[in-house]
Amino acid sequence: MELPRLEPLYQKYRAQGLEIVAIEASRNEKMAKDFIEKNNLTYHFVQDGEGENAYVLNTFGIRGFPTSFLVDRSGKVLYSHLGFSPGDEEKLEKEIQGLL
Amino acid sequence: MRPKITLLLTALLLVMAGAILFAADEKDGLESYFQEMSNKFRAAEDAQERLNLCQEFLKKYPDTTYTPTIVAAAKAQLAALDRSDEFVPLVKGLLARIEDPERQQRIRLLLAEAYGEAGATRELAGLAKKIVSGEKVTFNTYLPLIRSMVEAGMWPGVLDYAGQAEPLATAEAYAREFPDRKYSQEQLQEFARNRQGLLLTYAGWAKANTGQAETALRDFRKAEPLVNKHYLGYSADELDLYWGKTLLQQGQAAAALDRLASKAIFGSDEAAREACKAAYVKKTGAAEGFETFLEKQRPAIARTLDNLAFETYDGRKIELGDFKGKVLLLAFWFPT
Repeated sequence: MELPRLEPLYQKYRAQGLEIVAIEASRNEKMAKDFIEKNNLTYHFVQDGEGENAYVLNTFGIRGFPTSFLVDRSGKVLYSHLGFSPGDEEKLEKEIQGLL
Repeated sequence: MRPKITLLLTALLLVMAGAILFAADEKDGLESYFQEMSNKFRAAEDAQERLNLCQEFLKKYPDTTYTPTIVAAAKAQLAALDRSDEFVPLVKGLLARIEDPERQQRIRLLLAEAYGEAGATRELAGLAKKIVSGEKVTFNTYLPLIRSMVEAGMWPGVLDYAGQAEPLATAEAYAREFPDRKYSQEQLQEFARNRQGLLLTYAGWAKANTGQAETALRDFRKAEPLVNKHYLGYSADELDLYWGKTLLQQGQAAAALDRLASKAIFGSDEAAREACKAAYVKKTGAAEGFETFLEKQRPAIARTLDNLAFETYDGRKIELGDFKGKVLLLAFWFPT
């Protein structure tokens, strides 16, 4: 799911316990910060590590962007989404509602 | 169809972003033209508009470092417009204007992919021969050719080329191909193992399709510890898909279902989902209840998130475990 589309979901469900962490794979701090600022994104943003700590490509094995994982309150990764297509937002929102 | 395109576009933008960085010493004119066209490409309304931009670029600059990327983008747009038959003439006209042998190779591989998708077996066989007799042939020359042959159902060709690629599935070959990257011996061994696993996967699938299911299953079992696994548990390439389909072909519906479920549920993979459904129908006798079955499997095979630590842009540390008790959405992204 594209990042700006997550912001309304965050605003809507944050109080009920939704958190969003966006992990930036490229370590392109300037481009990332510009994007976050331009789109007024307010959730958590972190950078992927380097070498052994490059988790996005190594540990998670993410090959396509955007990819997202939805994790329940106990820490189980229950849903994953790859790419973005029409209708995904509704689907994701339903999944979030189901977990909250 | 749709998600695949989005993905291709994303991949393209990544390549473009990379190309921007590497092209710093290119001619200023080309550089700024590329930036301008990238922006237009991103803002374009539909596939036709994006295709026009690609064609405009190729007309103005037919032979630059960007050419293969743009040809790939044009291919994706034609596919989205259901006009893939126009790709072959486009590439043939272009190849005559390209002198750089490496670029020629990369564009020929895209042509091979198009032949594979169209099932043009004779054209693909001829082109593949030409490609592997060229310069700087690596594992990554063979792999798209093998995949194209799988797509076209050219099973003897798959076995032949998988055999030819085997000497390149080594740590030494990998190190030779990427002399600038500093990989440890351990990493190189892992890359080599994955390559061997991929070759076994495709060779196995070729065997499964030519009446040698037993040998195929042996190949798949050998491939399993070698190939990369996705975080959510399925093989990162087609191994689980081909394995599941072969089991189903052999009438082992329950085993096929096990093999396919993880990829069908977490993999955003239509082919795995369809194969999984076929296995379910075979096992239960009806398609009814398939969705419910998958939803029931989901929590059972879901993996618990590792407590990994990351840094924010202002230097704070965040651990994923900090969010236990919350519903957490992890979004992996790449600014473009």
